Amino acid sequence: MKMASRSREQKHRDRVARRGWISGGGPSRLAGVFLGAALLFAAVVLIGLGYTAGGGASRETLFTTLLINATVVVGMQVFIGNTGILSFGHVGFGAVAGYAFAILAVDVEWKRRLIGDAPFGASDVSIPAEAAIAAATGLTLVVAVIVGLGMVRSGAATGDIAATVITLAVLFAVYETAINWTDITGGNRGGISFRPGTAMPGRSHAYAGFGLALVIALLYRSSRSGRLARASREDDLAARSLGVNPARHQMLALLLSVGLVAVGACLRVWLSGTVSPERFFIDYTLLTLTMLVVGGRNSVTGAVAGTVIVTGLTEVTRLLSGPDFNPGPFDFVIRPGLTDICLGLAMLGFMILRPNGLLHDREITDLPGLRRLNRLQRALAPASPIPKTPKSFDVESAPIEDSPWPRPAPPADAGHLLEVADVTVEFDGLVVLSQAHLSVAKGRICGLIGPNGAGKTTMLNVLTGIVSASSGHAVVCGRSIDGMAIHRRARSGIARTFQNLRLFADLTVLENVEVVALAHGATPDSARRQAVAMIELNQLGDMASRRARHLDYGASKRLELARAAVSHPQFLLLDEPTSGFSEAESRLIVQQIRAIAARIGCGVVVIDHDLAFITAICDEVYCLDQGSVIAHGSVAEIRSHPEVRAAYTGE
Amino acid sequence: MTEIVQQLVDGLGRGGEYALIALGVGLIFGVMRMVNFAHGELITVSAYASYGLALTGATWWILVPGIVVTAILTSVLVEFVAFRWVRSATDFAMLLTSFGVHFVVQAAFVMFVSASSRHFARPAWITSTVTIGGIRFEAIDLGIIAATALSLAFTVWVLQHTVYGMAIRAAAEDFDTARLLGVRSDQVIRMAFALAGLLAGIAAVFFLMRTGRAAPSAGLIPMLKGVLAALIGGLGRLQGAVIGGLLLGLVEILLVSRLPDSVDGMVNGIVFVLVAVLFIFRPTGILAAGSSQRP
Amino acid sequence: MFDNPLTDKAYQVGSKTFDELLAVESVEVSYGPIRALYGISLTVGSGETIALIGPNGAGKTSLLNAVIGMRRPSQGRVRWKGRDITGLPPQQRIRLGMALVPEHRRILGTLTVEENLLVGAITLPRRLRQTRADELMERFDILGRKRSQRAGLLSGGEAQQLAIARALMASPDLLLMDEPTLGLAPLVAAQVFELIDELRRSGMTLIVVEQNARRALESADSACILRTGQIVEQGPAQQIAARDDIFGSFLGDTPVDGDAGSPDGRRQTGQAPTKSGHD
Repeated sequence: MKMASRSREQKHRDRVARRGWISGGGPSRLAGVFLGAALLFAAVVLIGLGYTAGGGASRETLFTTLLINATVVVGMQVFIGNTGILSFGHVGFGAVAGYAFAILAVDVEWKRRLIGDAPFGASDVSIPAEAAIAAATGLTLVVAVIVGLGMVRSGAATGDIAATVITLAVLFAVYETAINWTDITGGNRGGISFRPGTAMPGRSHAYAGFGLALVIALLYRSSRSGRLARASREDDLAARSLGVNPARHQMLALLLSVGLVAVGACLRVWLSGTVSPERFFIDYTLLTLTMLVVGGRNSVTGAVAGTVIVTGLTEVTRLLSGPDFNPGPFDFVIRPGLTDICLGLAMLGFMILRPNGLLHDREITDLPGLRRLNRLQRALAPASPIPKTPKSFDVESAPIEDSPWPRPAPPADAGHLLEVADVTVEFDGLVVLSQAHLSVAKGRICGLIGPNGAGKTTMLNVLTGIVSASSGHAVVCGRSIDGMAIHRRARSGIARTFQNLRLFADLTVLENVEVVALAHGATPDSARRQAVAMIELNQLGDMASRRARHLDYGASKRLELARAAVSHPQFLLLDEPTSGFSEAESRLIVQQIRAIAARIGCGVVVIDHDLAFITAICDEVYCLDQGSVIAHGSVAEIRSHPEVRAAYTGE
Repeated sequence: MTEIVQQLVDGLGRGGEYALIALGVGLIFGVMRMVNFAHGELITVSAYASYGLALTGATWWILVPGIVVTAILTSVLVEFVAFRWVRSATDFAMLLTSFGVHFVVQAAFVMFVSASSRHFARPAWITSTVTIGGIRFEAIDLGIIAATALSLAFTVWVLQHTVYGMAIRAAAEDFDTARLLGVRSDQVIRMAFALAGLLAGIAAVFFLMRTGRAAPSAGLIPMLKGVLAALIGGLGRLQGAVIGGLLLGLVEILLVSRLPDSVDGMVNGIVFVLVAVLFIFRPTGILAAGSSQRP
Repeated sequence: MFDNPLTDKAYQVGSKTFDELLAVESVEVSYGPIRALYGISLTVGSGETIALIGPNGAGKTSLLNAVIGMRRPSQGRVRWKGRDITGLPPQQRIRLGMALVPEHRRILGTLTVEENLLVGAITLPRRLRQTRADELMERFDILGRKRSQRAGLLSGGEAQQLAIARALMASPDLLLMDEPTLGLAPLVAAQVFELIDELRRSGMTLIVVEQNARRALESADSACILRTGQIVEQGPAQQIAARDDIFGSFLGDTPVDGDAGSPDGRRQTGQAPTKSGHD
């Protein structure tokens, strides 16, 4: 009986662990990526071959163009989808690659006829097209590094207009350079074209580019960096407060993304035999962005689907505006511009009605069929680890040896304190904290109470680096954290929850917790193990694969707690963990916080208005009023403190 | 000295146009939190309207009000047709919605008129110059500066001294509170679009007097400059939009006059890169108090 | 607000009788998947002052938002002077005679003090607007003195006066106040309560959300305690104030093992130190 129930429990845990297994590590992840890429690839090829079976050179070209555009769009997805930053600049990067490619690949004699004696000896070089693609991509990446550094420096975050304008600057600067630097680009007229009759790229090149894009995009999506980038896409501040440094991941996403776009752009130039400024400007930006958002910018599958759909749409409009088509009485609509108007309307329609595209972030690797295949693959390779989690939810009695977390180091003598001294914070001349102090030892639970507006949350914001104090010091375990970046503070042992929920809304429950473990340097497998254990500890096990935005309030609160705790911080800062809770729920969370604190061996600073809760959980309490600490002591001391009573109850 | 004064006037003339557009972008951002990439379409539509009017033999006495009225109506219409649906959407969706509007309008002119540009007569005085204190100025520059000053004064008056302006300012600062006080959200947004349309219309008058040309993408560059100017000054700060616009105009004239001729065609690109570099260090514009620190 | 033995339009609280002005009927409010109010019903009589108390996150602000129209209830109805106004946007409810003093005051800092007042009466005809503003600037003389100053420069207490004056601009029948003493020094907070008392005496209907529950109860006819989106207790303010079990648990007094907290609280309940000043 007991055995049976245990095995059922075990099965349940396996199921939890396997959900979204693609984001786990090791061979299963690679298998998933390649399988997913293969499926997408096969789907596109089937559609393409089906269409070209009808015959005709234009259909052949269309299919190759589709593959190349898909390469570019999937490339854009890597950056836009994972970081949430809208970029108009990818086509500009494509132009850099396209020109570099053409200049390197066109044969010397023909090139001299087009641009004469170009600078840098460009007229005297000609290398095989494949090598030219590699070289052009490399050069474009150098440009991307410079742009990326700037973008990251500007503190780019989701929906940030400054970052978008930087990308727009790329588009325009490249365009005007292409027009004006006639010595090397051939200017606006002809640009640079291949000698007529030069061999076009075979379909195989386009296949290779597309395949490469799929694999890289899916790999990045499932990688540590990709997942951390998406965490900061969902909530930049929460991600940084939990140890994610968005800059690194945005940079990596940008480079991979630009690399793929560069490859696609080179192929595009090669296929058409020419490069000119207009070919990589606003029109192509519209086309590729529409492809991206129609399918859904948040998934690779969406990018591919969008490309296929929009290509189909443009093909229809092309046929309609072509000379062979007799529109009859509808003659007035069949004009040039029809394609663009349809693209624009498609973009508008999707932004208004379905801003996340057809697929939102559904990915091919999430298909149930693929999961089953994975199970098969697991059976063939039983080495792949299945997470082991604590056997019981009875967290307080569970022996620490069973814990998936490293055992807490015994507190060092001097260095086990969180200390804040003389912190003053002013906003626009309004003093929010004035010479406030706080000292908490690891293993203790410390309450922070006071009327609204007393500066409690500001205290947490100062500790986590979100607000910078005009004076004062903060020390964690003997290390000063003054002036440290938000994510560094998180990594030096501070984790927090937020007063108003700041979950990674579009990630699943499991992912929410997992990314934080990843951000703190856990390997994918151990991050998975820790995350599974932590969500079970917080009674979230059966919701592991649900999106955080669909959780109810209590579960959301528990998830915030799990997410902060999984980084096993030295100090856990909780901002109103019981707000909106019933008494029963509050009692439950008392146990939970105690259990977690005991497990991790961390100190806890907890802000709350529910004095019953504070009484039940705290070893000591600080009371703030109007930015100053007016009392500090045991719960009983605080409760009888006349100033506290006055501040709280106005007596 | 003479040259500097001439350039200054030149720069202010150009900057004034940008300021008018930027002010509109800023007003719309204020009430909707949307950067309107379709703001240039007001100029495009006005350009075709004046082309159409010119075909019927209308003089500039008719074209000027025609342009302004067209811009206002277009602005309000676009809000009604497209933007009202994305009022509470994400930044990403709003940006791409305005981008989409830009394309639909542009493509509609390609489709129903022509991809190539249409020309109409520019006013005769456009090339004339005025000599003041021994320095020759282009009449149109002086015209723009005067019109900009008047429009700004009018905008300030509307914003500061009318109940609509008060409502717009209240909504721009805190939309929810404004609603709580009884400000009608539909009305205030429509007012902001109308006012933005008026300012864009005035900018369009001078822009079209200078170019005498209607093309599907006529509004693109002025819009981008306006958006840049608004961003330079700090979005949502109306005085910032004006300062940003004037600054942008002056920098451009400076670039045009100081850079070698060979890179003349790259001024837009260089301006873009300069602004991008500015954003790297001041992502919220020059007037913003803090730098990268987010609350 | 309570079982109503009289008619369905008038009812009794303690010794007073009120005519129904506002009725909230089984209102539920959700923020996405998060439910903030679970079927709240509440009747407010004309001239009645209700104190709405409860811990943070209990749904007090959500209830005010449902009343003023910033949040459309997912279920239930709101009735105003007998008319169903559930779907009306806030600007129309303002025109019907409601006003809100929002949490954190929400002063429009870039506008002048006078303009803040004028915006508060944006629903009135132009001439009336200025007259009202002048009246209120006379009543709140500090606002009069700083009328052309940017409102963002006011101190917390002044800003709170401005927020209240702004809400009074349209001469509302019902004034909703969300944490009017939030972040104010005790002395300033006391002034705000005096103002509440004054408004109450003038016959205005008030719903006051307040952290300082004891003081709020002194100024109220009836009280309503919310917890996790539900009304857990309601009754005449004096009765609620006298009931230490409810009141204590809200303040966190109950679970304490007989320390100084509870007796202290009990002693304070009966007293009304600030009230003596009014009579």
